[in-house]
Amino acid sequence: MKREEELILIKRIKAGELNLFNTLVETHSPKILSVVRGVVSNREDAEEVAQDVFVKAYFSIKSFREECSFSTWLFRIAYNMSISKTRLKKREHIPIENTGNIPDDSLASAENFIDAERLYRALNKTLSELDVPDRFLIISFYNHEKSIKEISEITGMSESNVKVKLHRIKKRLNLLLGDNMEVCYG
Amino acid sequence: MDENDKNIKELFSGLSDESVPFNFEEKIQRKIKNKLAKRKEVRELWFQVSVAAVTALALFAVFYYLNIKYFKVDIDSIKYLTAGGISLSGKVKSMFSGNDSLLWIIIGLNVVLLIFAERIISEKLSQKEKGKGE
Repeated sequence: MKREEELILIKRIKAGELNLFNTLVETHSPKILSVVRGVVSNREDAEEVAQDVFVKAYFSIKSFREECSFSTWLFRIAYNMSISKTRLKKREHIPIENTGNIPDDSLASAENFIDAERLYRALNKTLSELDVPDRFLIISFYNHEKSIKEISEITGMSESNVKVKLHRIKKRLNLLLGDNMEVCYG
Repeated sequence: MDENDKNIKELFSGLSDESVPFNFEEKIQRKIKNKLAKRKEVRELWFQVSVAAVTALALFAVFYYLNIKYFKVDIDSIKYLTAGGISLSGKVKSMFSGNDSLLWIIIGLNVVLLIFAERIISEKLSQKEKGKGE
């Protein structure tokens, strides 16, 4: 859906056509589910959080002032809800079976498969050692191609703070993945 | 984005799971409907509470006005009223100031606290049950 079309849809929803909200759910649910699954380790909890994100969006859509994209606004809600959900369970572990599918091109041979699996295990371990805001930040950046500015809007951190955090996490990722990356990517 | 960034990005794309579970939209709709119903209930409760408060105030004002205007009751002189030779205000005071009364007041407060705790716990439990049911 184009941004202009989405803004028109949001205006209609704000004007009272709340039944159109489902279109927004259909459009944005894959991304929201994906980012929340990356942050909240338990799959059921993640789906629950993603549902709550849309419920919260429904009830506060009038406060969406179109200063940022609707997706960024939803990500902000998802960020806050994921933090609330995991506040009591700090440094959650992401089980290996919850990590999505290893891309097919990594499975060219059995040897590659083992290397790729090792790489994903290392990535999971690294991610599980990050706290929730940092995990959200890195997943938004790499998985959802959010810009520094957008991440700053989502998390409420300053752009320079986001840059510093990203740099630190990347450094950590490089350190932990270093050997495995060499095996896979040469 | 350098080569290393691209590698990490590729790696992250393997982690991405954008599949939408069955009934996801319906579950959201159900949650919205439940929340709307709850909001309506709370609004109704507040309306009832405010109507009761306004009615009580109006009644109090009417009785006060009637007592002063038509029955010419001197409110200040109530403390001099007696029942069987004992001052009423003194009797009321003695009801709340004795050691036994204090004990009963503490027991009463405990009962109120227990009732509140029971209500809160049962409300939480029923919410949990509802959540599991969904």
